[in-house]
Amino acid sequence: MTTYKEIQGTAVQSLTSSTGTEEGQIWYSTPATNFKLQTFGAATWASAPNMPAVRQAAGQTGTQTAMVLAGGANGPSGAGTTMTYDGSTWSAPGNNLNTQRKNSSIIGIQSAAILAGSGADTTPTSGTTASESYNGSVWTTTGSINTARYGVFGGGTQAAGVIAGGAGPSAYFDATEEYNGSSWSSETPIPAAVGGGASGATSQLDMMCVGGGPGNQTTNNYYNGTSWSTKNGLSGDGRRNCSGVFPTSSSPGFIAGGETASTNPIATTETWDGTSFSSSTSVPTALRDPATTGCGTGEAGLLSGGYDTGVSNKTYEFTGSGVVTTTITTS
Amino acid sequence: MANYQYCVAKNWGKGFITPNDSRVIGFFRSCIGDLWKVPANNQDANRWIAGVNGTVKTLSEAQAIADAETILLQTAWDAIPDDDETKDVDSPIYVARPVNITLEE
Repeated sequence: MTTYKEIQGTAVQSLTSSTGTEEGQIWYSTPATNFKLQTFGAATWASAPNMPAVRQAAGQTGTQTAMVLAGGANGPSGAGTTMTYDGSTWSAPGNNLNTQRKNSSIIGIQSAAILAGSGADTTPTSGTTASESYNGSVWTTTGSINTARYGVFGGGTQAAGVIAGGAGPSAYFDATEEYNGSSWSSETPIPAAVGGGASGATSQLDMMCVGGGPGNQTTNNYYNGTSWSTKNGLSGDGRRNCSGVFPTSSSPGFIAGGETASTNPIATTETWDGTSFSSSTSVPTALRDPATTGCGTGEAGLLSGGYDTGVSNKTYEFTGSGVVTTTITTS
Repeated sequence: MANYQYCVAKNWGKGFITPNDSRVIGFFRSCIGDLWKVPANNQDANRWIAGVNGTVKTLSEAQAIADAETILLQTAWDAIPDDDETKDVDSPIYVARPVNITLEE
């Protein structure tokens, strides 16, 4: 028997909500007075406000709406300037590092961060053992790391942090060090020396270290707080001098920019779904040496500064793929 | 038929490329200077160019801009002393000599 639905179709619900609850949902939004469709959208890169100053290979940590960036370089000169971003505005509050530092790496959050494994403001650049602690307003010199280097991987918190690998003039390092809030201790080294890749873990016990040099690597070294193993590596070309963020090994993350064996800089992005990497939407600008060790999450990240055709003050916000609400129009 | 078109537009930061621009247009690439490459024959890309006050350039016009910008960068790079750290391939601040770019549609 023919049913009403077969003749008339299924009615579209009228809802007071402007956001849907599941992929494929169609509804009439009464507050918006238009039809809505819930679809699966690809990852996006959107331009964010320009930084107050150009900066290459700075350190950054925090979230897309509460991050801190410090150190890095402007050409041959190191920088000590601290910059913060609240999701809409950059500030340079004047609370600078005690010492200007190239190739910095910062772990933690905006109000409780640690900078460690950075380059001296010398020519040529050399690795340092320096470490500085940040409480959201002041940088304080703290316990030195044991192996001088820059371009380290990092993760964890100000009270329980970890750095690994890194580079120095004509050398890469395998050293792993953990921070307990006051001092650094040497731990199990990475199986092979590597530096200049992407990390940005939120825990000392769950850190992925992706890409880096020497050469241009696809490797994904994993640290569980005790030992190292490997997870699935990049699906495309190996890269170094890149950035990205991997808050945990089981949650979404991304790696972007850098350089490959054949192209410098690059714009490509790969996303991590908790198991493997896949190609994603490219950054609008090819760049290397954006700030690291990471900022945000695989759903909401930030790429700051770097080098495109010169040292850059451009920033881009990353939004991971997922369900998005679109308005159905007739145009 | 060309797959891409070029325009000159200044990236002012927030709002220059929105998440929705990225989603519906899918491809943006700054080439050199303020030159941008976006899909051709694409209403959303055309709307974006108009929205950012972009000036559409033909392939030859865009190539001329890229060539001129590249020469400036190469001249600046050549003026750096050979013993400068930015020319040391092992340095973290190494900068390769800018290469000539061939734009494609």
